Amino acid sequence: MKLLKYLPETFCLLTLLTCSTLLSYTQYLDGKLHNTREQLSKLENLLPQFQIQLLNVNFSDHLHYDDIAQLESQIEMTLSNMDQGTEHAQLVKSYLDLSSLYIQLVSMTKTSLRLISSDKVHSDNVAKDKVTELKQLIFKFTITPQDKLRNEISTLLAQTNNANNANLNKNDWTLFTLHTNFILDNYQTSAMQRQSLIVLPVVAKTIEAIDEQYARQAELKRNELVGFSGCVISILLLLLVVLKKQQVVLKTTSKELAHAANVKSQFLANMSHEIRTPMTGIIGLVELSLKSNLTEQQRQYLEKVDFSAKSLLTIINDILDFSKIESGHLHIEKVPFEHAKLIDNLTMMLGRVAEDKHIELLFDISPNIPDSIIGDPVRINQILLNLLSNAVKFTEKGHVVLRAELQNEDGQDFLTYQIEDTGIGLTAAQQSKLFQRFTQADEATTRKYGGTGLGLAITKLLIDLMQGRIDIKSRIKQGSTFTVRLPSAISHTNKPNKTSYKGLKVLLLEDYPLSQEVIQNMALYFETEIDIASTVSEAINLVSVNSYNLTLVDWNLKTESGIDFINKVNSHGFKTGLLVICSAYSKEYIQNSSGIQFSGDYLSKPLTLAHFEEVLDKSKHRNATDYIPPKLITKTAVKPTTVTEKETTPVKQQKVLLVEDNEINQIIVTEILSNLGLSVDLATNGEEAIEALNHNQYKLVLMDIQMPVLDGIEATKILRQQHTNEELPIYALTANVTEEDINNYTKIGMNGHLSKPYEQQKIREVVSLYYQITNDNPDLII
Amino acid sequence: MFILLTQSHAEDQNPVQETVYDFTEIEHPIQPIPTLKSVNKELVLLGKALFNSPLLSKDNTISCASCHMPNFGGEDGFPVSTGVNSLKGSRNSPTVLNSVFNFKQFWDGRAATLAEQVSGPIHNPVEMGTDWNSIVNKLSQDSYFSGAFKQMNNKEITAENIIRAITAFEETLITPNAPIDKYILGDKTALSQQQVRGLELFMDYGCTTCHQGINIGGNLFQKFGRISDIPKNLLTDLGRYDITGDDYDKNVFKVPSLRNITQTGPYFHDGSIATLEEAVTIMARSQLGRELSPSELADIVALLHAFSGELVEIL
Repeated sequence: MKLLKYLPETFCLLTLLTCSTLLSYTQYLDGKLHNTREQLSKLENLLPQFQIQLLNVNFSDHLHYDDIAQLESQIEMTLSNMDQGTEHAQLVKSYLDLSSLYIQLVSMTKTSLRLISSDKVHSDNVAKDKVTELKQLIFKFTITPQDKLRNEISTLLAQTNNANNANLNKNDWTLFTLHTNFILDNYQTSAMQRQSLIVLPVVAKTIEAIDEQYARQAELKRNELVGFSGCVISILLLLLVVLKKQQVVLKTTSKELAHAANVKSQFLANMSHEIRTPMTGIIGLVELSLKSNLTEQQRQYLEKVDFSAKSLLTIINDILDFSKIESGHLHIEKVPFEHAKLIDNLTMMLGRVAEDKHIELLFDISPNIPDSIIGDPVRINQILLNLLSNAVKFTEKGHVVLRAELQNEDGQDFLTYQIEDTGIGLTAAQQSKLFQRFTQADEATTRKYGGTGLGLAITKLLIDLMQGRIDIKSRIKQGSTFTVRLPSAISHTNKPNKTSYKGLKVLLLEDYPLSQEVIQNMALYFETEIDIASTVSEAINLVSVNSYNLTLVDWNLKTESGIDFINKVNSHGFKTGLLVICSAYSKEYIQNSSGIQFSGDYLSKPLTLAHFEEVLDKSKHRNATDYIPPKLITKTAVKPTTVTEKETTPVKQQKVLLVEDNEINQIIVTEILSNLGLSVDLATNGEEAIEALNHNQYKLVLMDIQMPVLDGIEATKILRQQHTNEELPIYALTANVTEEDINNYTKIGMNGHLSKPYEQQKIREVVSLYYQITNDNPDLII
Repeated sequence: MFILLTQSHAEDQNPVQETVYDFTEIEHPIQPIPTLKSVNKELVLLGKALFNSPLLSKDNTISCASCHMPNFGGEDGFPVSTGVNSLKGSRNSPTVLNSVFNFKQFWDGRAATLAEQVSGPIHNPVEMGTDWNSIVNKLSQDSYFSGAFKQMNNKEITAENIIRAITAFEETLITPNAPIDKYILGDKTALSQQQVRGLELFMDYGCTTCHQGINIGGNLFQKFGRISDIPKNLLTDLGRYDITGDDYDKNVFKVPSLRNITQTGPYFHDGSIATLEEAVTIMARSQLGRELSPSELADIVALLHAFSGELVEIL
């Protein structure tokens, strides 16, 4: 069974083994073949040279045999590098052997012939004739070496020897006879050898052998190719088999995983539901409890419980959504809904948070979005809420803008939302994993901002479910822009006729440029005239010369507030038309926190087109002169009155002059001092402080260092020209407490310093030097 | 598996600088010994040390130089040489001088090259009587040789590399500038009158039939007693026949070089002839069928003295 399982692999490996063996064997043979061919080529070159030299050996001008010996050596060396057993090698060898014998004989016969022809062996005429005849016959014999001629010469030699024995020089004759006999004995042999050497097809055979090698090589190449392609094919097959098996395994695994994920999602969904039910109970009961009579402490506890419970519910909702989407149980509805209401809802949920952080939250909703749209309002709301609350969460200053418009592309309508913030921004790497669940841009951010990291993942999934798209553009520390495009259908296009408010004049008191722009666009849409003021004094100037139907006042200006405007309007009796306070805070909240009751209209920020139209409509029905300015009724005296507003008062021994521009610090110090039984006169800058001291006397001045108009250092320098530090003690209130700073404070004549953040005990110590402390309450919580 | 596919068949062919000669070819049966143009000095030095080392023999008693003394005609002066255990060889030591120009090595020409020749005496039981493995072992333990081989491009001590070194050394053992060479190259004063007469006889009588070329011999085989009778004792050694078994090769030997002949006695393959006069007489009679007159003999022997050159000093 196991063997069968691995049968394809085994088969592939065996094929590979066979083919690679074939391949390496053919390569080995090829190498050998290559060598043989090289040697054969050498022979092909050497043999003809040798042959020519060999056939020249019997020429008289061939004086020595070094050349032929050298060639012979080379041929033998070449042969020794080859397979000795082949027919061809044997042929060459026998050729060399024969040539060796031939050279031995031919070199001798050459000498013998020379000796015979040159030697004077005769002493008389008869002998001379005989010898001459013999010589002639011998030369004839060397041309046609025949037995008959040989016998003839032999006979003649014997006759001459016998007949002229006495007449012959014995030495010379012996030499002559010996060499003649040598020629007779060997010349035929050497001639035959020569003939054999000529006919032996040694060169032809060499060429033949080379051809044969080429043929074999071609065959080898074929085998090599077969081996190589076999190897490649078997490797590919092996890979294929492995991959196929892997695929099967992966398929099974992925099925199992999908099932497991499904089970998990189902479990999560169930769990979330089970948790949500009791959570709802908790929240409901807490809300009920909050409406009953409670002590302050109980109320505080319960409010915290309420807050915690709602946070927990949000997280649980996120998890539930997520698991629903993952398990495919989330259904996107397609119902008609009012888009404006959706935006209103967002205003309520986010305005306050943004205002608390001093961020401008703006809605720039294009009028081209029809009233009724078909879609899933709950999920679109969720998407926008997620993105906007994220934007607000990660923005410390500046603004968050929601832009919305209807776009049409290839006949398909898209709702396009753009959420732009001026927050911490994202790096490219962070952007890439932004929509993964449970991740936030970075760990540090998570700690600073909290959250589960599910929000964006859900947002992305929801957008995917709606076949929409989300894009992000972001620069670190500069802000991010999320763009969401959702395909949508318009339920009915006929928007109710736009009411024109031509002729109406609107004044806007708003210091944030982008907000100015948005509201200006709205005014343009309604065809009203609009003037924009960034500061209270600008607005007062405009009001003093123009008459407006409607005045929109932003409650929170940079350094001023809507109250300042209303106060000035009231004190001068200017007409503002319908005066509307704009704030993300609720009317009640404003009244509670400022302690001022005001009658008049109110619009929640961010402003929407619908709301704007509402107030325009309202103002249209009145004349500017009809307008009764809102009344401000001071409820309590918590907020200190400013010095400028204060009438000249007699010297109060228990009064401290606080010079401080920051409102919160004003409140804190005032609180501390009033707990010590002291009252506070407030100056918001150095100039005001000098002014106050011109009218009043104070036992102690607490002086902030950094202030607008005239700072603490300069103010002290001026004051010290009139008052010594014993007459007028001045203490610095500052966060700058380096040694250098402190020395500087002393140098300009300050009596001492109190460091920020304020330490109640320190303040008490300083104050007690100059005042009788009546109401000592050290438990005060700051 | 892939190792099999990428098998390489290129053999290690380390290019070793080879000995280069400067040949001059002239119109004469006798050719002058060339001059040495360049050598691989390191290799030659190592070869010289090996040539002189008794480690190459079985009992560390003899070296190549024991029988082939380069400064004494390239042989030992004995009819036959004495090998390990005082065993006698059967043939006269051929000279190592100019042996590089011989077309084959040994009396019977059984080795085609010097490199092939080296193994002969190493294995011959009556010469050095050993084998390459033993020699490689002994050399590896020797501090000089193991160091010297390492210096040669980190070469291992192998039979092949030993042979290469010895061969390189032997290739430098040449004796140019003999009077005969100077004479044939144009210096007519290099030979005495008698030697000039001897040279004429040497050529006229046919000695140059076999004794020609650079080595005045050494470039072909020839049969002893080709023309006429020869002392019987010289015919007991059948020469080349012992190798080929061919009747034609009976008493056939490599024609020996006559270079430095005055220093390489005694003569012939068995060293049985003590004097040049005897040797020349036998040669003239048996190979050429001629009886030399005393004056002719004296002239030729005088010429033979002109065949001695000077051993090249390379280092």
